[in-house]
Amino acid sequence: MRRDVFAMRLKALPARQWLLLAVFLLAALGSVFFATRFVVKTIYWSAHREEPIESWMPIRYIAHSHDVEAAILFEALDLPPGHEDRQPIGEIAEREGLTVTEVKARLDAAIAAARLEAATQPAGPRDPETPR
Amino acid sequence: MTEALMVFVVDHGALALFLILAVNCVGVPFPTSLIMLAVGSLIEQGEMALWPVLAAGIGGAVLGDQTGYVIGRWGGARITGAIALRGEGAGAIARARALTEKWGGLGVFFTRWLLSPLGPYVNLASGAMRYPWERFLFWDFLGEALWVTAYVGLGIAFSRSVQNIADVLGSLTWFLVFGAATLFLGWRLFAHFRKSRVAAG
Repeated sequence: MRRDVFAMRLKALPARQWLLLAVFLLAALGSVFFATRFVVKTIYWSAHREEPIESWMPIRYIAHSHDVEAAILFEALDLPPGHEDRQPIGEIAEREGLTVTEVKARLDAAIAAARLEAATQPAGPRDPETPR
Repeated sequence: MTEALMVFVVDHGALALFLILAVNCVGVPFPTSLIMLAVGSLIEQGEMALWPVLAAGIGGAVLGDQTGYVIGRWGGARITGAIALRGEGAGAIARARALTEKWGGLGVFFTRWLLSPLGPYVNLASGAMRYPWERFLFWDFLGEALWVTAYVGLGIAFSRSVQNIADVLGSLTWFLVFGAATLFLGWRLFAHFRKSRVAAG
């Protein structure tokens, strides 16, 4: 009698244990994946304070994040200067009949140009009218 | 999805955040972390006001959780009733209730902010297990207040790196969720092996 119960238990247990083990391994795999992702993202963040432009970002946020004037970004998209547009660029792209990739490229170019200008200006030729 | 929600937030402000968090806490997986961080950045840029955002955010989240609790309580009564009628069901339900009674508060608190993806399920379970409502509300409010304040606060502090910090925090949150599941399953597995060894020996 006891032997029968034991045999039944042996037969019943492995299936449940296998399932438990499989789910455990999946969970462990998920833990490793997200731990790795966490480390990678943290390193990326510390190296790239400025983030890639995403379609959810409003122009003013991009200007804030990249520390440039919002006006030059509006200008890059041929939007009226001083335009009070708080919509994400994905929406702007749709409205203006542009692709998000194109909008991103224009904004990146405008940011790069503004940077270049800011970097070269102090070292550039002095304004003759500026007193020494 | 994120884009449409951002349009909603910039157009309707704190009210939009209230609705987004309420719907999210019932169980619709919106990218709420990114939204709250972005709202923090908008506050830092002077485009939104802090206090209405915090009030609306916490209010919306708590409302969503309470809805989940009520659904669990109404829907759960039928399910637990049906289980209790079957063989050992009544014992299992009683054990689950006792466990909820003992650990429910901490479970509710930590699944509001640290393990937030689990929140909606804990709401349903708390209702179904008839965890006392006043205590649910207390821990729920405390946890959601911490969640909303922390994410909006981080958005204000790192207002230039919303996407980066959302990626980092998202990975951390899911690591903690999977880590907790791994520990729990590992413990169950260990108990199983020990039991079968005792049965064998």
